[in-house]
Amino acid sequence: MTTQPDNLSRQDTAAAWVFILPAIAGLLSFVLLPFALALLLSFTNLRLGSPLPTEFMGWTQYQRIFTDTAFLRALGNNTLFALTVVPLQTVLALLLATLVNRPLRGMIAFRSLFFMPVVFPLSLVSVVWILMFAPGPQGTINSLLEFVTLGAWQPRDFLHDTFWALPAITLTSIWQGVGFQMVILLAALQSIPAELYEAAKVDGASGRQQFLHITLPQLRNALIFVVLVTTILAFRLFDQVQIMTQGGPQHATTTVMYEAVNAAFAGQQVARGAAMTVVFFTIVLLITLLQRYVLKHEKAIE
Amino acid sequence: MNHRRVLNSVLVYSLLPGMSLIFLIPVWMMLAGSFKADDLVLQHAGSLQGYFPASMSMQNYQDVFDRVPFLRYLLNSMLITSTIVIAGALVNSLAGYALARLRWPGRDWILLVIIALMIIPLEAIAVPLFYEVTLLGWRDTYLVQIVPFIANAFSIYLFYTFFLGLPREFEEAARIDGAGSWRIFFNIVAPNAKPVYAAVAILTFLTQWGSFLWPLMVTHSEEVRPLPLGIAAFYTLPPLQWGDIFAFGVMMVSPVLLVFIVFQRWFVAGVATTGVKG
Amino acid sequence: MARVVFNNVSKRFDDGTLALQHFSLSIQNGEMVVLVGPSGCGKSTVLRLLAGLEEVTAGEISINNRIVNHATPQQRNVAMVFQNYALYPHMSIRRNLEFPLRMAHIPMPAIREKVTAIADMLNLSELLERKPKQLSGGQRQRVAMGRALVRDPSVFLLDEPLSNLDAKLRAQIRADIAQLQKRLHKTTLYVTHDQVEAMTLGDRVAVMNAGSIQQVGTPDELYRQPHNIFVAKFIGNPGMNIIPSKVLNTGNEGVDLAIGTQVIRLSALSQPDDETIRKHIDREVHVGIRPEAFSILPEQNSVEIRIKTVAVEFLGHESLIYFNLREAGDSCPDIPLIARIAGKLEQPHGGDEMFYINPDSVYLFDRNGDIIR
Repeated sequence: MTTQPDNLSRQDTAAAWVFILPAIAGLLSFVLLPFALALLLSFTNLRLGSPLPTEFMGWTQYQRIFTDTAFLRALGNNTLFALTVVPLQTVLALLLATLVNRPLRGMIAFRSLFFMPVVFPLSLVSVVWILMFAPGPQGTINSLLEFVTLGAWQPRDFLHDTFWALPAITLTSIWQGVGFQMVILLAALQSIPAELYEAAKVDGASGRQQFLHITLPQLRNALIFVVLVTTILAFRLFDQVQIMTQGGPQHATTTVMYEAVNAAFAGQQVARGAAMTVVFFTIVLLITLLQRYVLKHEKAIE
Repeated sequence: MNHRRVLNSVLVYSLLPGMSLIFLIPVWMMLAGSFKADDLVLQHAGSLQGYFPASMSMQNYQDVFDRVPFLRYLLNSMLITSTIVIAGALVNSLAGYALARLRWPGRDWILLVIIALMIIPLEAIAVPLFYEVTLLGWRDTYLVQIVPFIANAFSIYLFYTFFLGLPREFEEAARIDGAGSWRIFFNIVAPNAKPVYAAVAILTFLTQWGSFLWPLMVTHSEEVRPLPLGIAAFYTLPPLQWGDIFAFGVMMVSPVLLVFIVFQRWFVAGVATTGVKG
Repeated sequence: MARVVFNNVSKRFDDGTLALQHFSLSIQNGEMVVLVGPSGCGKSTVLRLLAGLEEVTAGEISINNRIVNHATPQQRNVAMVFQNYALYPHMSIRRNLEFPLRMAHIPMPAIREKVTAIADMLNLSELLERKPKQLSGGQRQRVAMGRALVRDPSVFLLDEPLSNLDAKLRAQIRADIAQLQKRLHKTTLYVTHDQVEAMTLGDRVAVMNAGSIQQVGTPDELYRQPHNIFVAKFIGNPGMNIIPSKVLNTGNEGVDLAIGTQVIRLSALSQPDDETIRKHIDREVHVGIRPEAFSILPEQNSVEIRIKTVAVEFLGHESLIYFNLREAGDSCPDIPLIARIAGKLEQPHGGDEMFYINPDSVYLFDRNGDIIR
């Protein structure tokens, strides 16, 4: 049987190209091209406004940034930030989701309240939390800790403290972002069929057993997704740092993106910034591949 | 069993208000602070006075307008965000439809590329994009804040999955009734895709309204800068006046909060769709 | 008014599945042909090819002697009623009915006139301003019919139009469709998986399986003269019982059929020298007996078979008896069989009984499933 040219798909093809062209043009020029450019530029010495000719430099930029203490510190900070934010925020999101996932009046109000910071721009949240972390005994967090510890707490300047600055940013970020994850987990919770719980109750499972053997396994995909998104967000950390600490004190809160933007923007070292964003993308890619692998692996087990 | 249930409710009802307080305090502090004299804000930050001001004044709000072009920031933010949301909804839904429904050579291949592009965040390309728009001479314009963000791989993917799930019969009925692809899309498909348009619009809005990194890199004049840069600049503008900063914050967030309260069901549904692909 | 011809049509989908091969069928002007078959047999593909929603891979489709292989649905002037009606959810009933006319650029006054006429005919006038969601299943079905009929198509296509209705409404609307079709005299292709719909509606019925036609004929022909086992089992409710068997040579007296250890004597009645049967002597064949061919009392010329009742379903006017053949030594071959007996069956003893059949109502199929007699 020979395939004749199909008139229907010819019509479709014409329409399809018109439909998809604007999107393709946009993605090509503002995602794919810069992405290729990032790879390319990272092997050069391009500086904006520099009189020197642009040259191919091989791995020099990468060698430079991986021997730069500030950048290494940034990588470490991002990792530390991810390692604290991801578990804390996920557990808190799960807790909040289970709390508001009750058919009681008023739960919608609580849900809205927990979600509310998500509609706050991070820049505003950062500024508000600068005051929360105000130094001296009259700062909100300081006085709260003083109250809780019955006066044993010594007030400190969180955002200018090499130890406390990153935890302060962590707390700010969780406060702003946890509602997003809560909503995703809440949707997953509500899509668990009620029959599963009824069957478990009939089988005599306690509330805790139901949570362990029904809720958690049913939430698995949503949880993996939340962990992935939160991890990637943790490596994208920038706004809070820029506004609250400018990476300081002594690089205690600098991040990969902060270093990259600083290199490209303040120092006009586009090539150096590009190399840093390539490193950043590699991390994001690895995290994504890891999630895909975990999902596939778990499916294979089933 | 009954005993445990009581314990459980006690736990729930004590946890909820505790949690609520954590979410409420910073917002309330901002609101209360915006009505207080500047020097009192910091002074009262750690005491109950900070949250229940004895006297209220609108002076801070007046100050904001005197010290910075707040309305300019607001209009810029609204113009940039709404253009991206509207143009994005159109461009990305058309693309999602072509991928989900039309038959054309290269479709599977392009779908694959778009799914791959989803994992590239703005940050990963910010520096070369900055270089690119510099070459284009777009820096410090509205254009540079709008055009790169209209086409969005994730939005396309959301539209694509929604259209896949839409019953094909509506479109086939329309085709038999004599409608062409454009008419089918605008008269039959789009009116039945309101949930996904809402979800994409809200997600786009949330990312763009708070956008900070990109405008920080590519703009420097107040004429085109959006609100998030406004508050950051205002915070660093001496003298440090916390009352003014909070008044700025309240004005910055209240229109969005109002929209959120009215459409909160849509916001929650929109955000929930992002998890569906997981 | 139109005559539809499928000439040796094949359809292979992009993913490589062959949905239809060498399909030929003609539908006369004003005739209602029902395509019936199990799901996945290709019957919907036939409909979609005729509608212009898919294109043929090979062969020709013509409407009124004009080949329409590459014509758009509108150029073909076909209309279709979908299984789930596919009423545009965001449009009022009026807008739904107007839509095909608007697409054809008919002037507004004419559109109004036609919509009013069709609404009157189908009793939809009261519902015109409502949205599809506000209508009952039966009403939606009528709107779907109306939207298909409003532009006076030359060919009318129905894709399982009754499957979303409850049993009672289905019977009623089935009658309505039959009446409407007679009155409007439209060339109609009707697709269903339900043989009852096929038998009651079709001027002719085409039974399909695995992408090709098994038999085309009037309902009566399909019931009385099935061409093969598939048609025999598909038509009838329940379908024909099929039992593996062997044709025995009994010498001069003609042929007997061995079913398990039992022997059915066809020789007593049928022409003993019937060559078509004798060709199969000592070969494996299939015996076909319709459930309604069994009786519990011997009649003139009837032969007996020993059976073991498994279960009885009493339906009021008749009983369905599920049974096996009873073998010598009490072992039952595992072939579930069904008999339909009028009235209520008394079942006095432990399941061992006799059934009687008229040898004339016994069908014979060869090893490939094609009819012998």
